[in-house]
Amino acid sequence: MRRAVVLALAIASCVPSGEEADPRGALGLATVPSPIARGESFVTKDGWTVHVEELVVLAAISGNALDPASEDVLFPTARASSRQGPYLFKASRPETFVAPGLPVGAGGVWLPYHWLVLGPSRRTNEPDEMETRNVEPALVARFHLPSESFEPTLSTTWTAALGPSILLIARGEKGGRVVRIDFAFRGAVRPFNEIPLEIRANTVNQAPLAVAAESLFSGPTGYELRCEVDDAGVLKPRSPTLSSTSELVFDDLASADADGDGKLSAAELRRPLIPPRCECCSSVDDESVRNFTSSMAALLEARSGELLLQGREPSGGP
Amino acid sequence: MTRRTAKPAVCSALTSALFVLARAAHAAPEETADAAPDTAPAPPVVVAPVPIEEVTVSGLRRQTSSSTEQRMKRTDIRLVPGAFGDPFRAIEAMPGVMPIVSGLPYYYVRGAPPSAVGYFIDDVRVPYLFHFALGPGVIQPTLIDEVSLHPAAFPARYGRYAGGVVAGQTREPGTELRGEGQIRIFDAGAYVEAPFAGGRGAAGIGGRYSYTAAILSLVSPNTSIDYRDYNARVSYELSDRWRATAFTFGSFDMASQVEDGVENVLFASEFHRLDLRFDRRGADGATSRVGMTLGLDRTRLDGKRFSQDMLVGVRARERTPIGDETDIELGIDATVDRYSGDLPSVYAVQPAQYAAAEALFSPRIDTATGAWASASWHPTKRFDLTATARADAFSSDGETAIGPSPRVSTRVPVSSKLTFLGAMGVGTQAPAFAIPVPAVGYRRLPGGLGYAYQKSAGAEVDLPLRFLFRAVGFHHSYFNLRDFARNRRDFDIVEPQLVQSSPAQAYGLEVHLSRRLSERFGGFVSYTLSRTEVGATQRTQARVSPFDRTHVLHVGGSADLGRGWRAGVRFLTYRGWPDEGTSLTSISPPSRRLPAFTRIDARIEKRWSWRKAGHIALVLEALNATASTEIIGRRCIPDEGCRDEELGPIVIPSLGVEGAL
Repeated sequence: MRRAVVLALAIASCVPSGEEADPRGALGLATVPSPIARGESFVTKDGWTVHVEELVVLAAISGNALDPASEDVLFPTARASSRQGPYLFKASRPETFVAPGLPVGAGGVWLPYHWLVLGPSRRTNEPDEMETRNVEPALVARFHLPSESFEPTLSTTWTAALGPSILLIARGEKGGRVVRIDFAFRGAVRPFNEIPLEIRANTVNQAPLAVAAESLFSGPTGYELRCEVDDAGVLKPRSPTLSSTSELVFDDLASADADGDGKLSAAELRRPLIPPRCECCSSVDDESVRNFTSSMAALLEARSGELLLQGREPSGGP
Repeated sequence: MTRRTAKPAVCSALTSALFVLARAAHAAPEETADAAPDTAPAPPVVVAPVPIEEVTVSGLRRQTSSSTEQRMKRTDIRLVPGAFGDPFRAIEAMPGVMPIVSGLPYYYVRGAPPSAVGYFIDDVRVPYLFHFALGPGVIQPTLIDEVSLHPAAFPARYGRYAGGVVAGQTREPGTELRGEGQIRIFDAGAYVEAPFAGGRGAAGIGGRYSYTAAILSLVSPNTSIDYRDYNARVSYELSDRWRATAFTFGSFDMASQVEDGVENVLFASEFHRLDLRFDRRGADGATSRVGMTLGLDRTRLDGKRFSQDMLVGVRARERTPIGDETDIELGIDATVDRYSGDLPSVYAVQPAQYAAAEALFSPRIDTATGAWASASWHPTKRFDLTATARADAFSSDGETAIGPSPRVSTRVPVSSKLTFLGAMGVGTQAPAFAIPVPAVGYRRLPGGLGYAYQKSAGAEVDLPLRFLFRAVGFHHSYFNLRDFARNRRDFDIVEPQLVQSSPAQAYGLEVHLSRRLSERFGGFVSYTLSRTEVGATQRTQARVSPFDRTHVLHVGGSADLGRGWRAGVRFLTYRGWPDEGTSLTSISPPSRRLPAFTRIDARIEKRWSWRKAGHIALVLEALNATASTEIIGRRCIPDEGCRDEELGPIVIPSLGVEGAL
């Protein structure tokens, strides 16, 4: 480092930078909340009137300037990256996220979920604070606690020291029955999926990012196992797949309210509740059946993979 | 050469006494004693009246002396080998001055980093004194009468620096045509001054132009270096007491490199000053000065952006003798800086870079105001006790701070040859960029003011043969000053916020033995033994400064060989920086040092007299004539061993012709 100082004095004697900078720009994403994300009530297929009171997301933006000489067409190498955040924001409000300082040329941007590393597993280079955008302190504090997706008894494991990335507070009503969910959970580890954008000098090129809150009430509904005859000639459930629905539903969440108090606790949401669908499951005491019995917590995490839709505007509504 | 100027009281008395004696020696016959009554009258002695000329002796009253001051006159400056006649490069040979790297004009002064050292010319602050890339000073040497280094307890008129002050004083306006010029292998410069209005006024102009670009292209075709400077001064005696002076000077530097057909400007900076002042010399020896300075600083940044500072400064001081033993000085000064700068596009840089750019270049107005009262008591010729009360108020974009900087210095004669020197003081300054760069400064005083607590004591001895010996011990503590780095891993000179730390400190002993270089045989030995430590933070303990040099030794001399020949040589050696090791996890204090550096500078001159007071000289001079390289680091790689990181050799040769009218 002293050599850098000395050379700087000897040759340039100028700071911050004595070199002509490469032209650089930024890539960005602008959230477009769906009507449900903005708090409009909707009616599910199974007759529930649902209102999303709060939907808070923790995510970071990642922009890459692609290497034009890269031979990998599907996952080209990056010659520069810019990661900003994490940002804690409300899904109900339009927000813009920018990844600056990228050299001009072809690039890509995406918004992966983020979660804080808490407790003994915390690394020294973990950011101390996230940038919050109009989120109440009480809600911010929820993200400094372990994700409610995991049992507290797992606190000694690495995964239990992670914070949540999504906070959902919603209320459903049907026939006089009210069920309320208040759950902080980790978002899905989504496949790497950059939006290709051109990086232009001294400006931001941004794409829309639909916040489709309705995705938390549709999509994966549990596992489905296919029955196959094993080597011994016994019919066994195999090849699990996630079945999903494109309709908006709330019955599955409501059914998790085991004590009937109208409040879905984290424990209730973590309880394995929804068995896999298979024709041979009822007659077989198979470990795989138990392994693929889903909890609503797991289904919400899976559904969150469609919460943030890059490069798209939200659909018109339910 | 004498002029009708102010007459100090002593000189007036002396003149009067001479006049009386002259009249008594040449009295008319009627004024002689009565003749004896009974003798024949002696023939009358007729003495032709002798015209008596009034003789006026003029000179400046030393008003800026302090016990810590080290001063060099221009006659000695030009003879310092390796200084190229440059007064501000010659201070490198003074004790307490730590070079960062041989040849570069950035220094630590008693542990104070370059950001804490202020540079003044005739009380006008300048952003830097040297052209970059080993270039010469920005002021023509012929214009400088003397340069002083004040490492602590500066005179009252200097403030807003927590480290040292380097102050240059220009020569008094001449009454005859005079000038000097130099033509060297990499630049040419000249300064000419002529009287007008019957000697009441004097006007001078000078400048320097470099042609290093052409020369450098021979060895490095893609690199271009260019510098220029100009000086001009007009003074006019409004009366026997008042003088008006307009003094302007400025400097321009640029370095660029061509890569792939595109010229990249590595560095470009300029500053300009116009100083207008009125000086008064009272019959009682009082002096006053009222002045105004206009300035423009401009620096090019990356991405074709610029930062700019337009400044206006006013100052006024009055120094009045109270009786024969005491002087009182009152003064005030104020500076307004209007900073502006081109911020980078928020999309082109990372947020941290943009925040740093905002801290440095956002448009704003900074002000600094100082007021002082100083009293000097000198009951005898060599006794001086000076106490100063000074405070400065700073403001930047709505943020304000006030910093006191009281100081006291004393010279006490212990015997006819021995003098005790003592000084204590507080220095304060606003946050300053680690490297002095024009138009670059921090907005809103991040981290607050920096302070220095300065203490020193020593002795001065007049030795035979006009040798002077001086030894001073010092201890300075520094708070909140920006340095280049605490260690290899904390290098960020752009970061506006300082890491909170305990004070840094520097302590040591300065020894200086000298005989004026302008004597037929002159020389100096300058030795500094010191240690500089950076303070502890929450994560690191206090440690030796990465730029600490335990020993710095200069031994130099100059000899008049006769027949216009004069030769000089300077030997310089200093201890290497601490070797901090290469382990990324090691923060233990260094147990080893990098190798020491040694160099020899040489100067030889052949002078021919020309006309009454003029001369032409051929000067051959070299800095680092031994072509020594300097070790600035050590890199150790597992299984490969350690390798020294060398810099240089930085050799500056100079062959030039000097002439003076």
